Amino acid sequence: MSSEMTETTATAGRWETVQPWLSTVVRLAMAGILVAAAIPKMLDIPQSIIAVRAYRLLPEAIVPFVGTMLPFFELLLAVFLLAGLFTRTASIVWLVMMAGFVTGVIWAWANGLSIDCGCFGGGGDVAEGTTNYPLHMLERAGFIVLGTYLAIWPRSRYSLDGWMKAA
Amino acid sequence: MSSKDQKTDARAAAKAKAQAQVRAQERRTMLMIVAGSVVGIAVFAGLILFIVNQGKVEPLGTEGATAPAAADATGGIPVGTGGVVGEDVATDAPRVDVYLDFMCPICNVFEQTNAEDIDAMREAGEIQVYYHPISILDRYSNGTSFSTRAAGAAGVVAHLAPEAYLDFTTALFANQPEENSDGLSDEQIEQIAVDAGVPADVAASLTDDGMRKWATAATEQASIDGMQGTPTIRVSETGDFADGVILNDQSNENSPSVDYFTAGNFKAYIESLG
Repeated sequence: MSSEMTETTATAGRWETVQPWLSTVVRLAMAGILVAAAIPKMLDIPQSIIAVRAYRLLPEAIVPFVGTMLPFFELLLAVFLLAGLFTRTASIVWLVMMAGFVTGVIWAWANGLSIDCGCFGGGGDVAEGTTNYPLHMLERAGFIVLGTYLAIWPRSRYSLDGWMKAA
Repeated sequence: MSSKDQKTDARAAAKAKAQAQVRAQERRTMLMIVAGSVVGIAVFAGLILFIVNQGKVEPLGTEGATAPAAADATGGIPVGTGGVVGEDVATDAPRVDVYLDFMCPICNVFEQTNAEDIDAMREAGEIQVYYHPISILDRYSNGTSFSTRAAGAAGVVAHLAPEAYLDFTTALFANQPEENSDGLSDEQIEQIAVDAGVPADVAASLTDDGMRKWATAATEQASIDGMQGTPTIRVSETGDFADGVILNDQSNENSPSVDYFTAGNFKAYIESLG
């Protein structure tokens, strides 16, 4: 019994050590993904707008606005994740955003729209049959796992959160 | 250790703890301010860019904006029975709108497969043809925006050398660059234009900034009109754009399915319209 006890404590101890580092890696990975998603959009705003329109989900009146602001929003979230500031809130925002994108992709899929998700810039409609919806969904699933992990364990190394709460 | 010492220690510890809390609170306040400022600046920058962008490319039909004289409000360039832009465009015939991007390989395939049929039907006055050179593939030319440059050049030729439009656009497809290359340079496009019979002074003005903006605005209009990537083919049996349907549009159950990448199918479809 006692040996079992030590083992659990040791595992817990190891987790205690590993978790903040793992959270740092996840946090930086998420920031990197956001930057990779935002830069091409930023460089070609008209295409970003067309990508948003391609989902045929939002009213035309707000499509240009959303298409323009999306990359800014992504970069902003990336800054918070990079700095590790308000990490849990940032992960929740990330998850909400992913929920929005997934809804969009499912909607497009269900409606038979042949579109590229536009996740990493470009996007909009593509040639029929070249849309790889399952792969998109798998990628999305991975992003959701990252966000969920960070929302549960936001404490990480080299974060402003840590500095803020330090004694 | 006396009880007095213990009390002092406890007091000191409490004081240290309180001070630490105050410091943590200060850091928190500071970060809140920094975070708030960052959010504010980003939103502000985004809004500025949005407003600037809105003003930069005026929608089609804006008074005083550059556009090919013959182009209509949808961004379509009509080619008449004699092969000249804006001259002798058939009336009372089905209208065919072809949306194309000069960087798009399958647009080239469409062109190779159907150009002859479309030309023949157009010359016979059986259809009115509107070409929409648009730019949705700027990201495939290493930042040189080949799609926009090529579409703008097509606009200039349509405007200033309407009789050379078809030869020029055919030549652009014949010289289509690879995706993810730098595209054709402005000089190469100029040379292609000259070789296609565009007068030298017109060929020298293909980089016209106003016409590139027209191409961007036309792309925006195309996307509003339901363009789903290129090539998009929209056919209106009545000849009125508003009555048109996009072929092979999966999101529209009334959309006719026409395999126009196989020779003859597109022509057969048009002829079936009667």
